[in-house]
Amino acid sequence: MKKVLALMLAVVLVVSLMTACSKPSSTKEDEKQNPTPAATEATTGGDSVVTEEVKEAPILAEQVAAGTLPALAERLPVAEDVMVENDVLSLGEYGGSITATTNDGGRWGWGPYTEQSMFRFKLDGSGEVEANVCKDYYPNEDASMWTIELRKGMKWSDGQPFTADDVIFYYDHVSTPALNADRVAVGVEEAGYYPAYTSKPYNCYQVTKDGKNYWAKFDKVDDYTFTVTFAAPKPNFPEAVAVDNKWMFLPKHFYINYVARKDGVSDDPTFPLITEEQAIANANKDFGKVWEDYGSMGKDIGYYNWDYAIVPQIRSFIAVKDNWNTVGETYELVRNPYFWKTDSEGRQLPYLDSLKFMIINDADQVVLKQTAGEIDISTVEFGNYSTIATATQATHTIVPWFRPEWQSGPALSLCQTVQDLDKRALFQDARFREALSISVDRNLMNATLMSGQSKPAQAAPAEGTSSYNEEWANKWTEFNVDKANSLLDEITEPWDKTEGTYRKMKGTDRDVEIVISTSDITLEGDYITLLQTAYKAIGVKVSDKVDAEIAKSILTNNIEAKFEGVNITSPAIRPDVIVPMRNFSCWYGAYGKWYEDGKTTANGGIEPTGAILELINAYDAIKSASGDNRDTVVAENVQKIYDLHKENTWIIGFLAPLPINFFVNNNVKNFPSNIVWADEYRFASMMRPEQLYLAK
Amino acid sequence: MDKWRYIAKRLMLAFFTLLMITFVVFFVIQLPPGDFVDSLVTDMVAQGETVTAVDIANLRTMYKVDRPFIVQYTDWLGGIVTGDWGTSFYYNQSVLVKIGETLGATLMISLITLVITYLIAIPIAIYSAKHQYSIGDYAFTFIGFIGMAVPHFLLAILLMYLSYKWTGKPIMGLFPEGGITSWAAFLDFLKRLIIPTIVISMSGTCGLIRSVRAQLLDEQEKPYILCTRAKGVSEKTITYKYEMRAVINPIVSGLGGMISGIFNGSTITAIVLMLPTQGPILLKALQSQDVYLSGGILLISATLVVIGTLISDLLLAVLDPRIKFLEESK
Repeated sequence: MKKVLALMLAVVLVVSLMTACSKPSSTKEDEKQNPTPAATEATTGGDSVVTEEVKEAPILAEQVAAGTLPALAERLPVAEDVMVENDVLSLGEYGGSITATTNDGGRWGWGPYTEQSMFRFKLDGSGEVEANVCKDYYPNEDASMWTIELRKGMKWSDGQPFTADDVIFYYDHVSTPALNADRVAVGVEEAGYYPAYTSKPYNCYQVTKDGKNYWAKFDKVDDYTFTVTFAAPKPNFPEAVAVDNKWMFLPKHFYINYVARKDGVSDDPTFPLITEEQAIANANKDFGKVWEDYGSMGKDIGYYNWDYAIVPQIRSFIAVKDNWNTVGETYELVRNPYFWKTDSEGRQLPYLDSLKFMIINDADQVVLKQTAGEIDISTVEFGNYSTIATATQATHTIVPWFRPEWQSGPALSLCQTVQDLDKRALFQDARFREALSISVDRNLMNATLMSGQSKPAQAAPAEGTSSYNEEWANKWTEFNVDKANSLLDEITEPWDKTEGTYRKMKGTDRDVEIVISTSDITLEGDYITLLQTAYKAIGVKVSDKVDAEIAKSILTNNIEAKFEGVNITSPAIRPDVIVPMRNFSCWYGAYGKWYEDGKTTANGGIEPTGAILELINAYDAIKSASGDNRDTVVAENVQKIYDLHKENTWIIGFLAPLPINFFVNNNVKNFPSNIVWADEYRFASMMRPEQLYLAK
Repeated sequence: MDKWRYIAKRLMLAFFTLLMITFVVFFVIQLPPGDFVDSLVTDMVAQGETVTAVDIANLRTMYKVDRPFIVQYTDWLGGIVTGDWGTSFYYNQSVLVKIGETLGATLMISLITLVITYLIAIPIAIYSAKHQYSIGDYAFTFIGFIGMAVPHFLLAILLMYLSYKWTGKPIMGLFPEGGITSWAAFLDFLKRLIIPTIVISMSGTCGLIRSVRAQLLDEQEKPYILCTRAKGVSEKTITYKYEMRAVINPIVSGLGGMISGIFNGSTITAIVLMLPTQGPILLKALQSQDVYLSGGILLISATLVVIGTLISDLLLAVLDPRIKFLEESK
């Protein structure tokens, strides 16, 4: 330890001396308050000037001086394991807070701002990951075993060490369900079944071999190294974790009071055996809640752990009060004094004292606050853009980010497994989808819905992205009602275009009707009216169905159509929007259920054929690709998935995607631009809020 | 003896009304299709989580929403009687604790607006009645009708917008950031009180002006007033000693609604102005089909109406002997 400290002192001293001349001098008072090893004294030009290298926030330095916080060197990981943040655009200054807003749903609204994942996606949008919480990671030859190294001396926000034990505890006792000896999960109906503590069975820890899903095994090598062993190669393990689970650890020393270990081991002093009842009682006492069962308690504090200020974190900012669900209040997250990243000059991040979130549910109230310039960082809905831009032009700058979307405005998704078989035949017919696509006047739509800011396009990857394809973007976008009618004449009963009548489905006397489910008629009502008018000219009836629980309707294959945009970085990273691999999107409906249930029709899944099956095969090929030519196989199959979508256009788009615009207060520095805004990349975490600072 | 019979009769009636209310409340909040688990599952799926049919079944058992309505109802009612109002699904907190959290702010706002309503309404009403068809009376009548006609939430939005136009900062919420810790924060808090107070008391004040004025005018025409005036009793005494006594009736009989209004704290206005009162909690509970929380809030509210009506009935019987007489002659 002494050696490490000495080394650190030396490094810091050298850096300090190098930068001493360019830094403004500070008072002796400051120096007194900051007895960190970083403080030094320099003499320039014969005058004795006290120059101090501030390596930590003044607020923290005061606490150190007062003896309420350990010195910086004791809070950071050992010098060589500190994460030096190279993404910082410019070196910042300490202090101040920035204000953003979120609704009282909390969780994902503000979580990504402070989230620190084991592996994180690079800012460049390449879809590659890099080490974040871990120091390094590497696979064995066939990628069936990954070794992960942690940062020595890294600490939780309560000062306790962060070690491999925290990762292994999290994996073995929090995120895995009951496993058989061969590490295949115990079936729900089988004896000995229990779900994961967080109720989330992550795919990233499983591999499929001979039709069975095997869970990985985590082994501790030493306090700062562990291995993850799979039953088959898992070449995309880091990417899969970054998308699927993200964090991969919880503070063992804290959670042992709330987790009833299921392996029955009773002689482990670091993790004593307690019953579920004791765990609930402990949680209710410490968290001030009334959980009545172990499952919901586990999900709440294990999965949504960042909801509770009491839980130690390794996040950049930590909560002080759990008022994130109180509308009208400000939820404040203050800097984590044990945060383990520094800038290139060795100054501990974050620069800001705190992030403040105004908890507001009503969109109009947010707009009023934005117009008044009270929010430092926010995104702006399309309709309010000009109002807010005009009102805040002197104080805020508009910073565009990309949304990996395939459309703006509505995109019509027809459920390919709709229950009505006549309708299913129509929906699966490409001519029907083409007719629906070309009978809409996209220019009119652009003018009425988007104030002319977009342009006619098919649902396809955006211009400027690597998967952009001009032919695809323009497919079926010409406005041609006659052609649409002749296409439909081939697949429906003859129609004489009498006003007020619709086409009949082939061999029936039932109207060709599309029932569009919507959870928010105020938002999507305009889209529906527009399509109703357009499709009247081709004899297709459009009705709306207000359904507050669309997700459930999709689960039960009880849906015909909905507006469903595609938002995807790459099917290799997150496939469920364009590949039927789980019960999620309307367009593929019960095909997803089939795949999710291990390619069976037991729970209402429908076995796919043709192009949909090809999609699934391509995805399976991506999943199992390994070895030297893995990248080639992945690229080929990603392309294949895109080609299949291009050919079939299951989702009908009308207008080209638009960027997402951030309104950023001019005082906020280091806000990056042209970043991809996507769930896979964890939204606001790509802002790297720990590196934001305020201009003095 | 008759008095006690009257009170006993009222109490019995109140008890059965309450019992019926509990049933209706529990029934009505279960009316929308789906239950808490459905909205939970929708949220989970929206957040990108995988939910299987088995998970949903487990959740139903976990939240006990898979039991028949009548079982759930009797369980709930039993709990209410024994002081266990159940747990809020959404907040994972005891219903009573959750209600208690916002009770202070709710009561404060409501009481302030209540006091202001009376302080403003009664003098204006007296002035209007005493100066019927004067310019002042017309002006107050005009304002009164506008105030009654404009919905609370619209007025709230308008004032919020004006606060932004005039001060550059829209005034929303009740407590300043970080709480009331200094004199400046207290002043800020007072500033934030202005809009809610105006909005919430507006229609009440205007309504009260109208009814008190009408009652006073009615009373002024009565023979006993003419007689009193003829006897040379001063106008002041006539107004405050005789006429005002008659005015108490409409005020007292409105007690039921008023008491429950104090507890509810103007739901929609509170949502628009982001006030930390009971209103937004009730909305959240209803939206997420959190039956025990919404049931609890609605029950308290309904109970207060019943109690308020009971008190006003009893008070009226004391204040106005004619009611007792009517009751006895039945």
